[in-house]
Amino acid sequence: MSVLGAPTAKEKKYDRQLRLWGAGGQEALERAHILLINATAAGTETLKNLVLPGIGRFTIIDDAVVKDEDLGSNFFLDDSSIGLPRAKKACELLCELNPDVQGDYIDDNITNLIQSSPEKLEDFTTIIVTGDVPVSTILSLDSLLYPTDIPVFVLKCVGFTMTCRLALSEHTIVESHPESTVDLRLLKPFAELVALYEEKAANMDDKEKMSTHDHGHIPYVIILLKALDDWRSTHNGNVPSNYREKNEFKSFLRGKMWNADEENFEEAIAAVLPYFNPPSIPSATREIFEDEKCDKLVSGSSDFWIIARAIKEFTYNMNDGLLPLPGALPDMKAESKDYIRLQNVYKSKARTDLASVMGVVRTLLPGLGRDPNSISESDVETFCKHAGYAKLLRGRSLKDEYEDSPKVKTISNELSDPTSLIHYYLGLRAYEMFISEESNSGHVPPGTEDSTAESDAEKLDQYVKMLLDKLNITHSAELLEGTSKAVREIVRVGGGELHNISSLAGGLVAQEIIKVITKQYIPMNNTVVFDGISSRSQVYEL
Amino acid sequence: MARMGSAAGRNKSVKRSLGPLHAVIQQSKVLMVGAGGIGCELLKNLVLTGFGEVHIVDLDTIDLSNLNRQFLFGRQHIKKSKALVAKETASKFNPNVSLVAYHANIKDSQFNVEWFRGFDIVFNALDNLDARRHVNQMCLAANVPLVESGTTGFNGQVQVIAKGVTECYDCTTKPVPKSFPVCTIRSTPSQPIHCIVWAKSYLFNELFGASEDDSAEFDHSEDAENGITSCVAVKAQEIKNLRQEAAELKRIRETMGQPEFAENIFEKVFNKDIIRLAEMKDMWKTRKAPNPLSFKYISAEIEDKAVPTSDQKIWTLAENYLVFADSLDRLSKRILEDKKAGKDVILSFDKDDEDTLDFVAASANIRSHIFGIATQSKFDIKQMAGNIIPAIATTNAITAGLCVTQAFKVLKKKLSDARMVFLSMSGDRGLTTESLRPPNPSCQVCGVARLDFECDTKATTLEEFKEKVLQGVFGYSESISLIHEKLIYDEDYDDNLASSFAQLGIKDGSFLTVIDESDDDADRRVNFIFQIKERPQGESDTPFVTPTRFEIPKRPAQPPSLDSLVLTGKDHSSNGTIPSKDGEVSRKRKADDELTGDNEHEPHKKVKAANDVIVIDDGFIEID
Repeated sequence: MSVLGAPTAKEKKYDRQLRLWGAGGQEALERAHILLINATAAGTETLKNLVLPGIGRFTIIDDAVVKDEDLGSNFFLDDSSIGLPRAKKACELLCELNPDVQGDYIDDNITNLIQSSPEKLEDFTTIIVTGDVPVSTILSLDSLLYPTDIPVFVLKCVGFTMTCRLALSEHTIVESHPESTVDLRLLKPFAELVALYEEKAANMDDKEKMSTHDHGHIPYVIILLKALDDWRSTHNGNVPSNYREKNEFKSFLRGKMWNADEENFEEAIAAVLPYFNPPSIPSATREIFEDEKCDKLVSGSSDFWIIARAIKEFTYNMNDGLLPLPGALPDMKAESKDYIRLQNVYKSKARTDLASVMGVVRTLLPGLGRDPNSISESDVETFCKHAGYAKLLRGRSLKDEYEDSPKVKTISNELSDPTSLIHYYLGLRAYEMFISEESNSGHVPPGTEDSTAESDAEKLDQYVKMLLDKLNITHSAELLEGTSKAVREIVRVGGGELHNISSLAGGLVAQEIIKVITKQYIPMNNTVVFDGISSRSQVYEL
Repeated sequence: MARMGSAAGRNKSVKRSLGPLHAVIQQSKVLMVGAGGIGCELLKNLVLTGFGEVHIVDLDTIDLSNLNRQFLFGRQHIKKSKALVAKETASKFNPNVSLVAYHANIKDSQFNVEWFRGFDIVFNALDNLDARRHVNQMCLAANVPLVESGTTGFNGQVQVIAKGVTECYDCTTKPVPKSFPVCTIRSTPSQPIHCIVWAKSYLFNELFGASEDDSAEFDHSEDAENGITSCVAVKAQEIKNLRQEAAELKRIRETMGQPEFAENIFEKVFNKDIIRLAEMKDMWKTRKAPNPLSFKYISAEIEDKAVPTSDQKIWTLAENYLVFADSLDRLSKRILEDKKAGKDVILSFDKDDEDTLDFVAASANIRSHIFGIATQSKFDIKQMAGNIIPAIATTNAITAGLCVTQAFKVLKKKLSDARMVFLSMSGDRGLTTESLRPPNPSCQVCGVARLDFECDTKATTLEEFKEKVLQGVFGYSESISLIHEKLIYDEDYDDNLASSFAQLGIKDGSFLTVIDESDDDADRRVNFIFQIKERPQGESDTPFVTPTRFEIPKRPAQPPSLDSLVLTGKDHSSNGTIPSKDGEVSRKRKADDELTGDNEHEPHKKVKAANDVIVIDDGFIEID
């Protein structure tokens, strides 16, 4: 029997996540093709968390064969995998998770691929680097991919420690999912709102003309607008602007109550601090408006920049410096019919603003060689609703971090704090130097042999000092106590992975990847460090 | 066939990472309650880390909508037991771990205090408040450490609970189930959720299910703590009218299967009842009166229109009618077929049952239209009616990983290093880590005295227990109350004194609570819970083993204010995560929703909107 309007099996399977990122986010996931470099435990766990919600495709590149110890940390390898190519076996088990996802593998190492056919890398939409990859290879990947806007996630997971670094030159987010998009325009009400409050609040202070019941049901937005009007007339036309004046204004409101239990007035008083801000353009939005890409649209400009430009023009040329109204109204004590009317005033202003922005978009498009209708109204509407919450992230390349402009200040500031997680970052940078040594052609991790563990640790200590010297950061044994401890913790596990930490890392990284792919929510910019011993994490821009 | 991996090779990394703790873990016996989103992740972690013996309890079966995260299950497992399939799948990944699965309710009597005592640590991977509280209580009774966890969308949290050392799950108040006054639902809806609750809990049940009076969704109690406003001012006449309406609807139910069934219902609930409601002028003095819809009008509207197929688009009135009539037809056929087969002829609402969801969505929207309330898409109605919480693999993975790091601290006996960890979407931090807090001295669950009490429940009478044990050994006065599921004794209620424990329903595994009711505040002792252990009376035995006296602590003089606890952000919704802006959306115009009239206090009913809390996140209403 046909079920009418029934969601498809796919929609049912993904129902719980569609409620977070919607159909648009899901489509973006389904277009994604992800490359995993090395099927480590953290790597396969990351892929697991992407295969389950239904990315389009993934490819694993790895030239390792499966060993006994892989089975102790990697869920996507089993007894029958021993001695076989790790890329192939992990791919097989990951494919079992979701028949809608296509999985492939390359039984080779990434360094070879970069040398033989670097152009192949551009087939992927996101790249995850894990395992013991030498610095030179990571930097080659960076120089190939950073200019292309293909995000690279470098994930290091050793024992209880992990770091994840996102390298992406530009990332734009419209749907940042703020807690609320409410903008009441109290200090700069538009004409229709003025007309409404003048009508509804005319008798707010007149017990002869307004019943107690009606007075207790004036929506708080109307109360505030009317009270502001009264305030201005006794304050040279000014509105309460600082904390003290806002508190005075609260008392002023209290004085307008007819009895102590008027909930609507209490709501008005509570709204003074959060909503009495002069309308301004948030700095994140201003950054977008001021970006060169917004000013200089070209035929290849993305829809984001075209809509941003239209909103900018609307804001400065047509709307007195105000962003388009999002149109949302919080719930409040009121009679239903008044609430609905107030809601309609906000909604219709939002629609008018949207129509104006849409008009600008349509006039911009032909100049860029595009059909004036090639950007949908719903995309413009989403942007208008989020105009004050949109975000532009300008990333830093790995070359910036390693060579061109290291964040010296961040590192030196953190270094003096013995509990800072920067010590683990430095420890893992030293680990990376160890496996990248020319004499260590097999990229063998420090601490692999118990007998050389202490000498390996001392070597890492030396690498940390070399790194700091290169950055001109002064150090001392005392300052490096935390780093030295981190180094020993890292060396202790001999490059091994602990499954629950890899699994947690896989969750953290996949979550960031989903944010980047769906262009929703704000990703961590750009390095997250997690320590499983203290269960703490920290984000640094490095 | 490739060779099998050696245990030594397999354990190499984990042994190096954990050191001496690894041996402890291999010897440990752990319990995991719940094999859903967190459970699948956690079981994988426990198996690969090498926990010696893992017991899994879950009552639930596998559903298609689980597969986006519960990776131990595949399509071929739909409708099978989560616990059993999880065991089956996970056991392949480490032959050195022994797994025991129970497809059962953790509240079953087989899982008694003695059974809980057999574990070194318990993990809660649950999705509901009731089971969480139960396991919390059992772990306190058995003195076994508990790792409690929960997720909602991108948010998650992990907390270690150890008796007497840390807060327990009930040391802080939890949001209570959201409910609405019955008059709002039946007479004066002002929001979409009111119409959805009406369609789901009233109309659907009257037509296809257990009718209002038997339905669990209707809360008859007067528990003011639930934050429910009652319809204090409902007139006797209105109550009578509502009963009358329900009775009429029952009569129409009898005409199911006849061609005019849809018309009859439509005319009744969207026309006749609304006309009657609109005539109550008092009710509409301060709000807009509803506009009845006639079947004639709607049938003219629907000419040549097709039944809508999108669940994300908001349907027009005509489309809503088409879905209403069509789903009514589908549901009627099911009932009639069942009836023919002589089967149970009651349907219940299930968000994943398209027929029931279509009916509720369309009916709710038609009612919204009548009351001038914004209509909703089926997708959104499903969320509101079905108490759906968004859930994804990533959050579960992070949370389950943290559960294991906390378990390491517990097994190392380093509780002072254990932490409470929150994760949220904030891009600047990732995790928030806090020290565990000490028990709340006023907690009614962990701030109590406990004792294992061995007795023959058939031979022990309440009177003997009270005199010989409570007064004789522990020196209680006459001012006490005794509670087992309900009040069984107090100074003014001694009817049960002659009854045996067994006659009062007290059996092996039961808890019997003694509340000190002395007048003097300073003397009042904390509640005392007797954990009953059955011990059949031998020939020359006494009916019970007389316990040794010990000092029962006094109740703290000044219980800390609950506000201070809530303000620190430690209040978790039933799904175990960080607080919601609970219910604000629907309570603001509450006073306005109450019927005005005289002050005749009539017995009032409350309708529960959902089984659990409502969380508002970015415009979505999430109901657990």
